[in-house]
Amino acid sequence: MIPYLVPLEYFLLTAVFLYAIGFYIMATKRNMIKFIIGLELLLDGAHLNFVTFAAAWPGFVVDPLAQSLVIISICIGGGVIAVGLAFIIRAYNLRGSLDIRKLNELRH
Amino acid sequence: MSVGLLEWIYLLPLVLTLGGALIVGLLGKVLKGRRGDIAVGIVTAVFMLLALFSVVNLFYIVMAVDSLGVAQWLPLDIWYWPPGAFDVATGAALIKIDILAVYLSVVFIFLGLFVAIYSIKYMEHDDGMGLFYPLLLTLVGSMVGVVIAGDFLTLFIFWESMSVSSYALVAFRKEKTEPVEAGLKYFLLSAFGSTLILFSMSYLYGLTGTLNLAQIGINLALLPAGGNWMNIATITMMGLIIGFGIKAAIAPLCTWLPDAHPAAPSGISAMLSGVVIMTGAYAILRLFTLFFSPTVFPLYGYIISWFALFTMIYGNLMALTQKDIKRLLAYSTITNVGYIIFGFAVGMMPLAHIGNVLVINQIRYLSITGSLFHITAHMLSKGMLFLCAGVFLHEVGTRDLDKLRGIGRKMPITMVCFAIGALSLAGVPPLIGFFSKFFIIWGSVLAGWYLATAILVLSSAFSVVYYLRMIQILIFSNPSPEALKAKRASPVMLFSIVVLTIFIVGIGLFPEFFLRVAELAAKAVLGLL
Repeated sequence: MIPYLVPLEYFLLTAVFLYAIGFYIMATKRNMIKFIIGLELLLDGAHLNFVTFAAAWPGFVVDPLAQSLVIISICIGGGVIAVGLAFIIRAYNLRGSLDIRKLNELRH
Repeated sequence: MSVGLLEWIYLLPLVLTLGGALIVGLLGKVLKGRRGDIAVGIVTAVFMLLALFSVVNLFYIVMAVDSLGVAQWLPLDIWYWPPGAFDVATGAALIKIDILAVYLSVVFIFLGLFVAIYSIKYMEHDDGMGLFYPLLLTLVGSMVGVVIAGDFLTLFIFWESMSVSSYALVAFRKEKTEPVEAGLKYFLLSAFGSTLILFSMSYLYGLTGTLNLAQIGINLALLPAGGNWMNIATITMMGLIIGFGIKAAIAPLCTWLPDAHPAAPSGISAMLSGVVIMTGAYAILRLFTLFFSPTVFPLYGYIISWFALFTMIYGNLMALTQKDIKRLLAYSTITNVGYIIFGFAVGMMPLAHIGNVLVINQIRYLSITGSLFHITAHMLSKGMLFLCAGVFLHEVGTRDLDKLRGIGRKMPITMVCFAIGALSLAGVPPLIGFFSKFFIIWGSVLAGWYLATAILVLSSAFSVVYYLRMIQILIFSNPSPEALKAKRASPVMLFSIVVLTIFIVGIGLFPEFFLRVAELAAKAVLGLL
């Protein structure tokens, strides 16, 4: 194993923190834009985990497949978030508000 | 990069659907107006038909390989690093095709074909059809990609592309409030589920050092039992159940489904309900059987089956009081997902009390066979019911059951098909839905889990109440003023409905071939072939 300057656990804890913050935002906020920010943080937590584990790959190279997974996933995440923002623009035009609780058409 | 000619034949279903999406998208830019929409729809249906042929061809290739006992999975390296720089066996991006993948691909493309034909007429008053058909083809192609993925990178790419195209299709009528709100709800839950899958898989990657799904299972089995990694694996398991469970609509996570299905255009409701949510069930089956041995982790099969039982009960209770026909069908979809996941869960249980390994394996593949067959049964029946509901919506303009009273008298053919589909899902013997439920119940009885079987049987009997209530309202009530104005459905829409009905009755009468294939698929997923 290559000796790391910073122990692996710090990165993993940071990833968990990022995921927890994202989850907290998704669970408590009302503003739809903040949902998207939370979603981005959730993705970042997962990406950081992958990059960390790829760096600790057994052998003397960084695992290229995991890194390409992260790069592809960042691109996909961009697409997903664009679709989400399109939804939010539509909802804002229809309701005139970014508050998720104002979306009440579905409450039967 | 090395893709020989033979490998392209294996990839044809993917190439025809995703490449077809590209071509249809370009055609949609060129051809405008109602005639252009019809032309684009026909081209879409042709691509679906070609993909169906190619996947049936694939089925014969895989069957031939299996009967010779050469391999259950045709390993196919579509992309790998140069030799020497990288270990191909543990890290390459792989597409692996086995009988289960081919079986489910046939199911997906089959429904996609009839939804494409149906939508030519159903979506006649919508604009933007040049985007609808490419999205439909992308949805079907990505689902095929999900089931033939051999490593997590491929799985995730296709999973996300499937999700994104389904978000866009749910909110296709973007000028109305309901689809946008339902789509937003679906988007938020489903995107959260995807991140949870990614996060959980990152831990499994950290434990095993590979993204290849089969290799992850092998590396996990090499780790010492009882070590600290078991806790991480358990957390991962919960994350995967929740992440895929959101897509599969397992009960506490299914709140998006009863909103998204009614709000989507009816063809898309059929796609979502019939096949898209089954990819979640597939992923749970494939990943858990590959990764976690039931002897090392005895509990997860039970946890998944409790979720499944709760899902059945929840779906049934909520369906009873619905007044909206598509919402009722959506809740009954939740119930059917419960049956399917339950069959899978019995296949994942340790069943240590039975003792004999051969008998345990038999029980496992019996119940998984039932569930896989129920995926076909549910795809045919529920897909057809949603298409019928779409016909009512198209002709009368309402989804309210009270306003649809007695509509069967004005639309006899649609109504006969609707009744056959509802009876099939209710489990009336000569129809397909009976056999699939029968096998799930049989497997569960043999596993000795009588209480759960009783709940399953009661839930199935309970669901007859609302299927019969629907039939009673739609056929045997006095027609409402709205229903009296209804005209007969157009032949284009009836074509899809009638063909699906013929399959419901036909496979119900001659289930043997499809049961054999489902059985082989179940054996393939358990590694018993």
